[in-house]
Amino acid sequence: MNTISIVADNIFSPLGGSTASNIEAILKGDSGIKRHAATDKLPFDYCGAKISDDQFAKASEDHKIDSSYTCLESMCIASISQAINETALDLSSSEVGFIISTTKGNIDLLKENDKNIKGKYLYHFASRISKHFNNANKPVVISNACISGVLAIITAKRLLSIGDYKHIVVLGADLISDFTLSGFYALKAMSPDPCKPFDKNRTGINLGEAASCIILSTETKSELPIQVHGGASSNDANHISGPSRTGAGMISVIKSSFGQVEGFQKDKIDFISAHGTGTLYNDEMEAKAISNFDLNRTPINSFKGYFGHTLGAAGILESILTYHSLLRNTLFASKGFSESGTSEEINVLSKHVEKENLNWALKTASGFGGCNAAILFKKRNDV
Amino acid sequence: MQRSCLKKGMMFSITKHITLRDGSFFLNNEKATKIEEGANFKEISKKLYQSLEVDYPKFYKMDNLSKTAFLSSELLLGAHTFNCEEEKIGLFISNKASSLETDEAYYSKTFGEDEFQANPALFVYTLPNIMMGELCIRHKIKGEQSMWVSDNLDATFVSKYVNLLYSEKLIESAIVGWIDFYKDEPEVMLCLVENNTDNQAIAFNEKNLINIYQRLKS
Repeated sequence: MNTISIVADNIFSPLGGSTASNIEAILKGDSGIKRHAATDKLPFDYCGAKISDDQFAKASEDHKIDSSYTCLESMCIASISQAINETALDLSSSEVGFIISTTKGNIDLLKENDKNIKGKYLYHFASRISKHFNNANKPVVISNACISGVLAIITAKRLLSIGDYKHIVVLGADLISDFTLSGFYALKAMSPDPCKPFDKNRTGINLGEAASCIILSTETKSELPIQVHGGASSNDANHISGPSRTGAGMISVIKSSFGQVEGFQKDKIDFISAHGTGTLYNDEMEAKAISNFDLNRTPINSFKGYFGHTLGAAGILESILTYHSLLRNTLFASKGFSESGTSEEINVLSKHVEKENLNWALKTASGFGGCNAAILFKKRNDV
Repeated sequence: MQRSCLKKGMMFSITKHITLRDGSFFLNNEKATKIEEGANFKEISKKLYQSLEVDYPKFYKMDNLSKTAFLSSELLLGAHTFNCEEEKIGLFISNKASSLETDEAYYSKTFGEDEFQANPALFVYTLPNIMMGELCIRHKIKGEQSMWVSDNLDATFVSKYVNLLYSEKLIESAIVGWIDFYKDEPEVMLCLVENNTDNQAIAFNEKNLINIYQRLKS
């Protein structure tokens, strides 16, 4: 089985168009979450992390994206273009595959009378992206609610491990739309204020929009000295719109991930990047699962306080920040957290912390439909 | 611990499959039920549900995609018991339209009326993997899962991926297939895949997946 490394990545979010600019913003404590006023169509205020029109315009100009592409497609093309800027990789090669993670795709086309009927299909959206980079392989589309991004990385790792491709572009993207805003509002899952994952006073999620990509590779000396290990998905088989109270499904994916690494000891984990949506139930469930492995003292954070919940992009965006934490030996504060608020005490990062020699990180995700996923990132020994 | 899949002569095989063709479900190649023509899906699915004589009132709350998945899985599995742990049963479904049928219904109900009115129970079904959640709850499936969206079943990828999980011992049984629903048109192809010693069983591979899937399209 091949060892899987990372060649390049990108985050295109309200905090910036590159991974570096996003990390700088996090270090300064910035958040993309802003308050947005009610409209005729949406009769409520909300807090969310939206990409500005100026940012769209600049990305389209920088990467020469023509107006035939939708908003979401433009974000995706900008994200991949920026990522390959730093590499000599030829994405048109038959040795390169595409895996695309999205929950709602071009959901803004749903408004009546939109002529772009094909654009509503997720597979069509995905092939627009791979074709833009002249890649002839059929993209794999994963639409598995909020674990889509982590599951896309796991899927890429698996395909690469059997030599199916040499490189895989894993892309995740979703928009903030009237559709998703109205739904989470109706579910009473949205926080009226910026979200506070794991905090005692947390009241729900904020939505965010982003495109994010990681290029995984079988090259052993990749540009970024990070390896991808483990990886599992599961189902709670409990409820379609709420996590299991016990965290059983989350425990199962963490256990499976650990079990896939020969001789792995759980105390090797230096850092946990949680799903941490800021809802009562999700955060409580995750704390229980972490506690089940006695990892209560292991530093943990959620990135949702900076970006909101970016749905199909979340697992990829947060994985990038997770392994950059290892590379920089810096753990980022869990924005919005001040007071412990889960029944099992866990070590939520209330400020940025510099550490020595961070090596292993665990990334988790869970979503509607009862799904859970986990994956491990390891810093290569030669750095 | 001795796992059944490690025994000699075992093959990962399609032990049963269900397809929907010209309005009728076929279990393997036997007609399993007849859906009356002319009526809409709501009536057809209700009659089919009643004919199954299962007590599962949650069925009525599901959207059309989940109802299609539920009915197909009942016909496929019946009283089947898996011979492995719940955590080792995988579920892998593909379709073309994702949850577009319910997305459009939700959108027009929320924004089409004079007054904004968002229904949370309908919104929950605007993700394609919710049907997998429904199947997992019903059949106690807790293992690896994935929901894929493609214009046709990508049998090359699906067979490779699921076989890899089997050879890595991450799954021991699986439900694999295609469940689509758009514009009142259900499409179903669902396979039960298990360890099997029967030499006559259909091997779980790309060729056999395509063979079964193509019966929908002919």
